Amino acid sequence: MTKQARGGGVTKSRRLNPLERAPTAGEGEDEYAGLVTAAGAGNASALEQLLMRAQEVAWRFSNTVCGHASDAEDAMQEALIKTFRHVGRIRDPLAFRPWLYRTVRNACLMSRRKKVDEPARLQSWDDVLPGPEGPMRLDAPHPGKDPEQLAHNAALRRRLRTAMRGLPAQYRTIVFLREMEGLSTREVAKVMGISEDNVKTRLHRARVQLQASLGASES
Amino acid sequence: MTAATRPSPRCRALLLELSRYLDGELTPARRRTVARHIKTCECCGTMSGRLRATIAACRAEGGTQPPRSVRSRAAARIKALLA
Repeated sequence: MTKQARGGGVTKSRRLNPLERAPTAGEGEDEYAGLVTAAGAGNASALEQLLMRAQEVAWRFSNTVCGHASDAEDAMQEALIKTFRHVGRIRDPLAFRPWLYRTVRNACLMSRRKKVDEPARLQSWDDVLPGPEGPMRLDAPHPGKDPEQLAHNAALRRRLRTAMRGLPAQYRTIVFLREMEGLSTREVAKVMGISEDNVKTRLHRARVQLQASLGASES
Repeated sequence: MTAATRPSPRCRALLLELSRYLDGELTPARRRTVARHIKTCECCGTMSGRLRATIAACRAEGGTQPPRSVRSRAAARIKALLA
């Protein structure tokens, strides 16, 4: 399922079998590049989709990495304006996605430079996930779903959120970009300004730390 | 390695490769070697399973859409910008 399809309201498309949906290098790049090319050619719908995605990325980054929901709207505004100004000047559409994430990262980190390593109030994902009438809690009853599975998912999400909070900011950013947003290792390296080998090493350390935290919270 | 709590030097070295193994980034020969080891080493097998579950949990969190109210404000900003 494409991100465009997810934009239609299917918010958890990777849930069924996540490892089989491992991000593939180039997949997301191509999708964004197509939108950038179309927007640059004057396609208004493509431009609107791109501007919406830029804001969604900023919202997710603010909530997941920076952990300050109050900053999300500012980051979204910044991402919107910068994307709008940048999209007409892009020579290499494939470079857009790393540019977007780098821009969002800078916008979020600039506004919380002093506090980014101290996400004492990391936004609760349970509180911000959308339901038919806006945010809903994952542990709320959900017709047609196995309550036991829902409870398990909600518990796992809470533990993951806590484990993410314990990661150093840079590891948290890499996990977010690589695992949650599906950027390729090459793209993450461009966003972070580090080598691909460094991305792999830090991602591995972050995974080990996360699994240890998840294991500890399970017992 | 035989005891889950006492990783051998070989297991410690292999741990560094586990992420690349799970991401499918090892050479075929190295992948076979790691796969054989995981099957016979309880500690590394357990670690591999836990890492796999951790990766799956993270990926399941991907692509979360903002709540409707946030998306509405985002759409309004786009509309105002393009007007």
